[in-house]
Amino acid sequence: MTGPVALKAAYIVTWVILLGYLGSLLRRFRRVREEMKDLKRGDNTDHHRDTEAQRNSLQNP
Amino acid sequence: MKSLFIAFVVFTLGLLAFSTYQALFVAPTEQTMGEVQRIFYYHVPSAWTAGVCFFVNFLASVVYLWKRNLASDALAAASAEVGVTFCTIVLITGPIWARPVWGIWWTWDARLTTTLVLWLIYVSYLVLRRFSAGGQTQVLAAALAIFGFVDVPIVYMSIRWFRTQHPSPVMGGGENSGLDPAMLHAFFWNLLAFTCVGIVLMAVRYRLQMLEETVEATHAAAALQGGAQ
Repeated sequence: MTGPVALKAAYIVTWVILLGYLGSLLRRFRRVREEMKDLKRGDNTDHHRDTEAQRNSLQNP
Repeated sequence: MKSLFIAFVVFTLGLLAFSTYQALFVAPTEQTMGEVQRIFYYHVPSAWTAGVCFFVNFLASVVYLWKRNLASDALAAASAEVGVTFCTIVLITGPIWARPVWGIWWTWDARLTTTLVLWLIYVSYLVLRRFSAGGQTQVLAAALAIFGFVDVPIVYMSIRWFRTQHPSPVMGGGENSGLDPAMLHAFFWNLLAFTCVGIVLMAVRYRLQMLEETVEATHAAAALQGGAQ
């Protein structure tokens, strides 16, 4: 490996590692945000189900 | 706060572009090694940033053991991961430099070996956090981080304490150490740029850790609620 080739290789490796890590962080962010959205949706569904049950119990005691 | 962070990211990107330009085109070519010496401008700042990250990890772990708060544990996790990333860069760019200069990729001298051990310690730390089950994971991780940090000053001092194949210290290494002022200029710009990149990555990773903790807590609460019904 000659000097200029080694220089290019070292700089490319550095950028690939940093960008790869940043990419992995962003992927994990997207996954967590989707999970949070699902949880919120689940909460809303539960809340809706509870309200329905309350209404039914009031209508048919 | 968000706009301040975005401004800091933009500043860091500009700084990184400028410092890379300084390293590749402005700094003079070293007489003995030639072009390959420019690896120094990425290799040493990466090592410095890894050291800063491990120091943050050490402080956050001490605070976690003392206060047991979620934020310091999240900061410890974030800093360890970013530190391992920079330490990986050090362990790869070093041998790429060594091959044309020394004629070998690797030698088991004190600096190289202690750096590899450092990397292994913090990889173990991340593995522990990722795969250990039970309520004591954070405490165990914090204890490992505190003991693991002992290797950081050993890595730093290894080229002063032992006779190594690794080049002797450039800064604060005695009478014959030092850099050409133009090289020093490029070196400091890169040191600043890499430190800022480290801060940005730690901030992003910290935010991610806090979100993950929130999701986990919500799951746990939902499971408890489900169990109670």
